[in-house]
Amino acid sequence: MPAIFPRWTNNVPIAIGLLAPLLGAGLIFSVWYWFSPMYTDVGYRPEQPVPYSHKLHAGELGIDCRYCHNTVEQAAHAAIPPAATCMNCHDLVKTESKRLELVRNSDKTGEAIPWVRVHQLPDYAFFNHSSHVAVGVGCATCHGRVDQMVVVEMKNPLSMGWCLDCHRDPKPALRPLDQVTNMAWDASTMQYDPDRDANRKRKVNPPTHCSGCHR
Amino acid sequence: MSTEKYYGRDYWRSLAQRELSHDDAADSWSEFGTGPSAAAPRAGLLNVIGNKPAGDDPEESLSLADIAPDAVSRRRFFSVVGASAAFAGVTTTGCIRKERENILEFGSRPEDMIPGRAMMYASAVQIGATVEGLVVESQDGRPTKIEGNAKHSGSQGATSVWAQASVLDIYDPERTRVPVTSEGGGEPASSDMGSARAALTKLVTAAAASGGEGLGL
Repeated sequence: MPAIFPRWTNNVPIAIGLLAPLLGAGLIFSVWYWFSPMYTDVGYRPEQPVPYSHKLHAGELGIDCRYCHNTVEQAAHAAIPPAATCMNCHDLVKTESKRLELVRNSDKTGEAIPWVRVHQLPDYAFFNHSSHVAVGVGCATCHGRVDQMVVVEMKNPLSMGWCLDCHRDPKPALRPLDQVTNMAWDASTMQYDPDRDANRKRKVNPPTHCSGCHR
Repeated sequence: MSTEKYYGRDYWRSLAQRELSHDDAADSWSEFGTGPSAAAPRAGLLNVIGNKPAGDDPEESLSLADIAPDAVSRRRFFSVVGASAAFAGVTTTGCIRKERENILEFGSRPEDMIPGRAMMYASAVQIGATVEGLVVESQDGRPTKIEGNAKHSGSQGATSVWAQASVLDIYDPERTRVPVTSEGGGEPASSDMGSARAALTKLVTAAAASGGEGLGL
């Protein structure tokens, strides 16, 4: 009976036995590393239906974050402003602009503008904006320099590890309570020590146990 | 020369040997005989013109170019269809890096309403001959849960089964969506907000003129 396979195929099972675990480990590592929020989410910059530029409005014009995202101090969710907020100014400014077509339509008919969500946490994680704003975490700390973004993009992964890094050592992220919306406030040049701030009434104690966020 | 068969085939070692052991009739044997389908015996062409019965005159056998110049082999057709379906499925539903989620905000948000935070309204519901004071929890303008109003002297914070169930009355599909008028004591007829507003204005001006005499709600 002649040999069907050439002699070198005798080594194939040995090769598979050596390579398969390595390949498996490599696959698991690459998913753990490159499928983490740091790679999949950071830099996410979806195109919005209305070309609203934060750089123009929050940066050059200097509108405070809370003028539009007015629920951030009272509620968990920092709401996108309704079209009526936009029309506060745009009833008088750029009233014929084609780029504001959707905004004017929304204000007139009540039909929602289909904004694309950029920062999103999964439903099993609880996050409350008001507690972070009240304790003195700046907007730019988590969302980056939004006042320099023409299109909003995600600067931080918002992953559990990233949140815990701060929750375990909150001091570097804190700033004076009146500087929360000041995008230009720079922690390295300001030398701020929350322990010595007279305006703070309570010690900052963020939860690091599981049920702090997984409620 | 030996013409032993290994695995059902004749292996030849020289062209001379091949001439001895092979014949062209056997080599050019077509699986489907003669006729249009013989033009591509194994590929399985889509027969554009129609099926001709097998066993026709061999001299009338047509080539692929005669039957259907644009014919595509069945295999290629299915592979293209399958690939496009798989590609569409991968890119539109699964295996995408980040799905698009929308934020749909009001055109004009009601005052004091914060999306995602419940608002509590004090209300009351009539069950039979009694009235129960309620506190209704409303999520984004949609009532979701009814609790008793502790400040109500009658119920003192308790609710009956019917009061709890009355939250569904608001989602009753039979509930009218347009103003209904039965002016003049006639049949109730659907109306619209414009006429409703006009009728109410008339009523209000008449009541203002007479100081509210004869007006009942």
